[in-house]
Amino acid sequence: MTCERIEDLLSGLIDNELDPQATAAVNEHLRTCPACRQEFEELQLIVRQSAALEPLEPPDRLYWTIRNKARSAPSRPWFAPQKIGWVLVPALATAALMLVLFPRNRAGDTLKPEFYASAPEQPGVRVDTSQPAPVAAQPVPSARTELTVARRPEPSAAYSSPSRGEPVVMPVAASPLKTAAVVQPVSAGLPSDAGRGSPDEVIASLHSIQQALEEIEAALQENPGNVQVQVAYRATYQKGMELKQRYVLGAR
Amino acid sequence: MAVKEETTLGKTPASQFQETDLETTAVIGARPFAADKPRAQPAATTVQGADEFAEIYESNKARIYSTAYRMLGNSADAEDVVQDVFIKAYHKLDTFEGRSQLSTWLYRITINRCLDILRKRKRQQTAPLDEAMGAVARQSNTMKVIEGMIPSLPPGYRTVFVLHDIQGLKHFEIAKLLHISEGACKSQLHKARLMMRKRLKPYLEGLR
Repeated sequence: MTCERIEDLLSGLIDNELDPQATAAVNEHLRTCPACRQEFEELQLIVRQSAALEPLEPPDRLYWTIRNKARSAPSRPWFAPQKIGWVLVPALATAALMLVLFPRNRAGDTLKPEFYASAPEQPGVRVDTSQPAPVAAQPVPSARTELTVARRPEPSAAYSSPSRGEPVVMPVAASPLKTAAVVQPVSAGLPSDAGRGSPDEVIASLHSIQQALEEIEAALQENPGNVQVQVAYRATYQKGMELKQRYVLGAR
Repeated sequence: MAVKEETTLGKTPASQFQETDLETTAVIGARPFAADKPRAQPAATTVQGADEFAEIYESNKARIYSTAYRMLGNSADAEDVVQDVFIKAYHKLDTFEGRSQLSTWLYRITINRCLDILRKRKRQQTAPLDEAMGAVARQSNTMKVIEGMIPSLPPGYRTVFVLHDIQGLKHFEIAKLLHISEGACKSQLHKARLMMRKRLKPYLEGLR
């Protein structure tokens, strides 16, 4: 055996863990190799002296400190912060991400305009505010506000089932509207692949919804008491939120 | 000389190994893992009464404190570890079925806590060799020289060295504690010993 191989076996020899053959071989080598014998003796000395180290006693006061702390500190319940940290941290991170991606102001009803400030002009939605606001006594029973939104084709009861490449027509309000701002669907000018629902397209549609919201908001300021405008505003906002949710779910 | 004692492990292959290995234990003078005087299972494993807890503290405090002290190299951190370990034990005593399980658990918590502390003070994870050498140079006692050099070992080697060569645990016990194989345990111990020998080389002539 080489000295390197012997060195690997020295701990085993000290701990009496070698089989008889290996023990005999190592002992034979140690008889003829002074360097290995010296190493063996030094290792044996370290092991022997380490084993002879006395146990250390902690100070007596420590017991009472432990007793008092143990009695005053109840065992941690399952919902302790340290235990739910692995759940809480990702949840808070997700919530923070959602707030950054889809911010709302304190009023809670409008998307922050600055978020979309740099958005390109999108032709997908046009809000027609040029028409005179009908009064409550003159309802427009057939008026149906629809919003054209580019999104991923997906069959749903709430949405029409478009063929690939066609925009989805989202009803903003199911009931007839008496609104100052009649939002009409405008599909002309949409990119040919608007319905594929790529993130850019969805975001562009969100910009369009935001623009529509701003225009409805302007109409609302002109006719603050008009309930139908308020309904249209809320419905448009809800559709925007639905689109965001679908986008987020689809992105997973 | 270590004395053959009853262990709490029963007639398992592991205990047979432990018994046959007591000859080695006697040679190197290590203390067996369950070296405390045998006594009945304390009722403290099912209650949180003061007497039972005091008994468990008394029978384990030295091994826990010694382990922590030699892992961390100072008494303040070792006391913190003892506190943490026994406060946890205080609240969990009713979950242990026997003293063997309790001892293993206490060791495991101790080692984990020590490694946590070592991780937190990363820059001082291993005491600078010069510092250890300086401390050792002032010692005339053989064992103090060795003890002073232990903190210079990397945490992994230090753990196995402290548990095996100082605390007297067997490889299978350490392997169970650290969730490693016995082979890995033996290998790390051998490397730790070689490192200790290398670092103690200047002093070994005087120690023999």
